[in-house]
Amino acid sequence: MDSFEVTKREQGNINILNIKGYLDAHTAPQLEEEIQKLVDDGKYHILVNFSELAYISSAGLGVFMGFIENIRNNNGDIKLSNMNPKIYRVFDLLGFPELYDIVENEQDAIDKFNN
Amino acid sequence: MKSFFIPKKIVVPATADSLPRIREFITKVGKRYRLSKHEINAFKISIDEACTNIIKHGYQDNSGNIKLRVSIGVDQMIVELIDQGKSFDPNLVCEANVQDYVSSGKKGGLGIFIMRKFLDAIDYEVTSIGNILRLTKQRQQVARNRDQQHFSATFKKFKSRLFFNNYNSQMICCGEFLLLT
Repeated sequence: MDSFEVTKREQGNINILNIKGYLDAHTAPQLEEEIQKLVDDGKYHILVNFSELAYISSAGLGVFMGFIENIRNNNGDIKLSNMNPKIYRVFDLLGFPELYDIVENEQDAIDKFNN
Repeated sequence: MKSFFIPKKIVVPATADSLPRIREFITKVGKRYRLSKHEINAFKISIDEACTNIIKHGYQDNSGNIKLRVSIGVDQMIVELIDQGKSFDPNLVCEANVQDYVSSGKKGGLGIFIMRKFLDAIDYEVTSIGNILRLTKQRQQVARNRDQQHFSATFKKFKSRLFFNNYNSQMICCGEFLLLT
C-alpha cells in the first residue's frame, strides 16, 4: 500500500515539513491537517521538503492552493524544496513555479525567508 | 489500433483508498507491456485524477465501483473507466488559463487540467452499462519502434516454425492470432 508521512521540525521561526510517500486524494487530508495546525498556531513561515515524496496528484497541489492566500496575507509563505524531476514536472505543467517559491534545497528556502 | 493482447481489467470500490491499487495495476500492466516510465507516469496520474473525480463527483462519496479496462497497442494506449455514478463529461469543462486558475486560490479542479496535459484524447459516453470515460495516449516513437521490433522478431520466429512444419497456408491466420493475444 502506498503510504504517506509528514514529519515536522523547526529551524528558527521556520517550520519545516518533510513529506514522504504518496500524496493523493486519500492522503492529502493528512498534510492539510498539519498545515492547518501551524496556521492555527500563527506559524506562517512554512517550508515543505519534497525529497522523500514519490508521487503527487492534484489533490496534493490543492492543499498548498488552499492555504497560500491566508498565509501570505499574514506576511508568511509556503516555500517548496528538494523536488525530484517527476514531482517538479507536475508543478511545472500547471504553472506553479510562477506563483510559488520552488527552490533546490532547504538552505535556499531558509535564505529566502531570512532575506 | 493494432492490439496485440487481450485488454486487462480490474474492478475497485469507488473510494479514495482504492487509488494506490489503481496505480499499482497501471504500473504492473505498463511494465508487463514495456511502456516507458514516462508513459506509465502519465497514465498513472491521469487515471488517479479521473478516478478521484468519479469518487467525489460521480458517486459523491456514496458506495459504488469503478471498472478499468486497459488496452495497449503499437500506436496508442487506451484506458476505459466505467462507473454507475452521476454522469459528468470532463470535456464540458471549458479550457481556462491554468495559471489564472491556480492564482485564483481555488482548491480543487486541477485534475482535468492534468488529464489534458498528459493525454491525447478524452472521450466520454453514457451507455446502458454506465458512464465510460476513455483516456487515450499516443505512444512515444521509441516505445513504438521497440514494440514493432519485438513483434517482428516474435512473428519471424513463429513464421519459420510454420515453414519448418510445412503449414504455410495457416501462417496468415496464426499471424492474426498473434496480433490479438
